[in-house]
Amino acid sequence: MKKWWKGWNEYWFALRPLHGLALFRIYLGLIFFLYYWFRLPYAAEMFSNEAFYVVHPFFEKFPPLPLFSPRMAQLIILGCLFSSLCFAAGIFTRFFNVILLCFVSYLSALESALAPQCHNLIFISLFLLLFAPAGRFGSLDYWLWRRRHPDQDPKLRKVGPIWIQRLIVIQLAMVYFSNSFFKLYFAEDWFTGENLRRIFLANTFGQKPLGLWIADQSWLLPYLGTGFFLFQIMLPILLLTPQYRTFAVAGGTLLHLLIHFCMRLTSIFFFTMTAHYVLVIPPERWEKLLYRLRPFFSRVRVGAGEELRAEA
Amino acid sequence: MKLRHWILSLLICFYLGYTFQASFFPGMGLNRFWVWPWTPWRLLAKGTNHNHSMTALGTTRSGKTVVVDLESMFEFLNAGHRPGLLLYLEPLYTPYGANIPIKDRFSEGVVQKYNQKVRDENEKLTALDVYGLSWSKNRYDRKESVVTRLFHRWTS
Repeated sequence: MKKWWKGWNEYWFALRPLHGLALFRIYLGLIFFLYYWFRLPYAAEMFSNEAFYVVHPFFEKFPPLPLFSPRMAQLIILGCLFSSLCFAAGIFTRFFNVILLCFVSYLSALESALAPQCHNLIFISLFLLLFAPAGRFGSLDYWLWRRRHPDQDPKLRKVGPIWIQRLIVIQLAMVYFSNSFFKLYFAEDWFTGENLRRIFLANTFGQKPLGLWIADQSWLLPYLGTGFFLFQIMLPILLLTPQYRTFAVAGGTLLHLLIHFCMRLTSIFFFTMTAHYVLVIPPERWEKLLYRLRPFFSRVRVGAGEELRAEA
Repeated sequence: MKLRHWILSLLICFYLGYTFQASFFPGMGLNRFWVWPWTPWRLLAKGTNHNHSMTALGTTRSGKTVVVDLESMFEFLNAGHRPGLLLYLEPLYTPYGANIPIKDRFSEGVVQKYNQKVRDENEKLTALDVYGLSWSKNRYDRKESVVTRLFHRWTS
């Protein structure tokens, strides 16, 4: 029992490098920035009091959200863009995490009936990051701290408890579990490849050139359908098993690339899922990778300095 | 273990349980995520009492934009009826990859723009279109968990 508790404690609360978390924060911030950047021209049509809304069943229970003029809607999106950039850069990280969460919850509630489901996943991750030391390392906050405290050991800022990273990865695995479980309902259609063919031909979200080509290959569809289905069922286990993590990340990225090029889904789906894979990879591996890249960056800097000195 | 870790462990267990039960419902298990924690227990006690309907924008053959109740529309199509109406969801998707809701006051223009497309689609109203609808419907239908669906499917 004591060993079990020790293992539990180690699994959730061990101090691990924060490199992966910093990369995830930057990736997430940039996703939000790009997502709302492309929505900025449509502020009036999507988020103002002149827009047409399909109310999500969940929000039917609540009084309608306040709606503003098109100009004000634009300002809200601009605020969201600014806070997502600050969040990615890691300046006053927790403060901008809260601000971004407020903006995103308002905006995604307005488009909830039409927004892709992965919107919910990044929303949950953003919420969980509130409790993580997301800005402790790899951020402008870290850089400012180093300037203010040159005598203190920076190693202490490079590690943090890992439980939030674990929770986000489990949440990701749950998403795949739910999705594959739901697919069981149409299992035989997946084995025959019929479901895949329907999806690639559907006029709502299919009909991309590659999807149309695959839908024509009747010999390929059963293999692809079966592979797709079985891999998705196994993915939650693969993601949570240390030995198979690399395979899960590679296979998952391939899966999402295939979806991206065969279906007319919004690009945010691909970016969201791959962003979460950053946390699947152990933080030590990110640390090692960034450590290896360090001489490259420092060489660039030294080289530039020498050139400058030569010029002087 | 520190007290802080005990408390966090309890919260983690609650989170895991909550997200696990949520994952048995459609919508990547995330639709259910924001439903209040007591809802599953209420559902167990009383059965479902969600009485919502999902509506979507449709365009009629005559070019009129209408708001259609997906649920009744789907039942209608399932019963084998082929109305002179095709729920055409594509206009909601733009080439930019963004789902743009169509402005109510612009519906005339939008209708003109998509009229031809809708007319073409109506010519070839097939099971495939109905499948597309069923997918959309399933996506928003949170009445039954997948467990219930599978149970009905495998026992029937």
